[in-house]
Amino acid sequence: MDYTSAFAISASGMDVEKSRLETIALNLANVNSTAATDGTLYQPVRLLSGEKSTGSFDVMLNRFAPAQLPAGVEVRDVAPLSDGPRLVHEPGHPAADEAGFVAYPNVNPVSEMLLLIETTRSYEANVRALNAAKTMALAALEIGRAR
Amino acid sequence: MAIDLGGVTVQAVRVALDAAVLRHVAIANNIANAKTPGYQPLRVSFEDQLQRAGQMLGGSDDAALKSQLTRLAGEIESGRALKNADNGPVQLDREMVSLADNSLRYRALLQGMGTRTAILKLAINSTGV
Repeated sequence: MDYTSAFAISASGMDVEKSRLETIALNLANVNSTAATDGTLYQPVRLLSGEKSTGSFDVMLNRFAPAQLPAGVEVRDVAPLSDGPRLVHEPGHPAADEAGFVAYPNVNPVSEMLLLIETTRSYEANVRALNAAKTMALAALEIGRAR
Repeated sequence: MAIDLGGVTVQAVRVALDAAVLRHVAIANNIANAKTPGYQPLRVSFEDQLQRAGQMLGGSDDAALKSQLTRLAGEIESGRALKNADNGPVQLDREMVSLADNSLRYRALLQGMGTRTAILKLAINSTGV
């Protein structure tokens, strides 16, 4: 067994959580965006992650280890939420329609903040796992050292 | 003929260390996939087998014990010792506890290995010549 796979798994976890954080930041940043000149409105997005499967190339390289060793996590997709726009009655607004409604993206700040907290904790857990692997690897270097 | 300084102990410790690393990989994967829908956490189960091997320790059949350990080592190296637990989603707190537990076990094994080496060194150095 070697440590590189443990490091790679934790790194993939951190990678995915960081990407998730980016989608949350994007949603929050666009909370007050109005429609672009072509009429498209920003759609809040969610990052979908899934378990990474060991690549066939790795299996080929490592014939003694069948494709059973875990490989971490990966980003599957960034998909828009299907919520419709949030309509606010602002008759004087330059982006208002004939009825005086302005369409804003339907970003829910509360759920975004909750997801933000969850994502931060997941990221921290991955960092902990990485640090534990590092400590174990360092301890293994001490084998046979005179005491 | 080379004298086997390590013996069964070193072989057993090596298997246990490898298992600890594999368990760490499993825990790291569980943590990384904490939010993957439908993911079943990975567990490493081999201690019962090592215990069975341990019961053979001290018996006369050293070769059988060695072959048992070799088989265990192969199982760990190939990842066949990994099992999917069927109890639902990952519980992050439990994984963190396993993580701490596993690192401590790993250190304890290394400590024991170090002590054994120290005893061997003592034996080598205390010939009085």
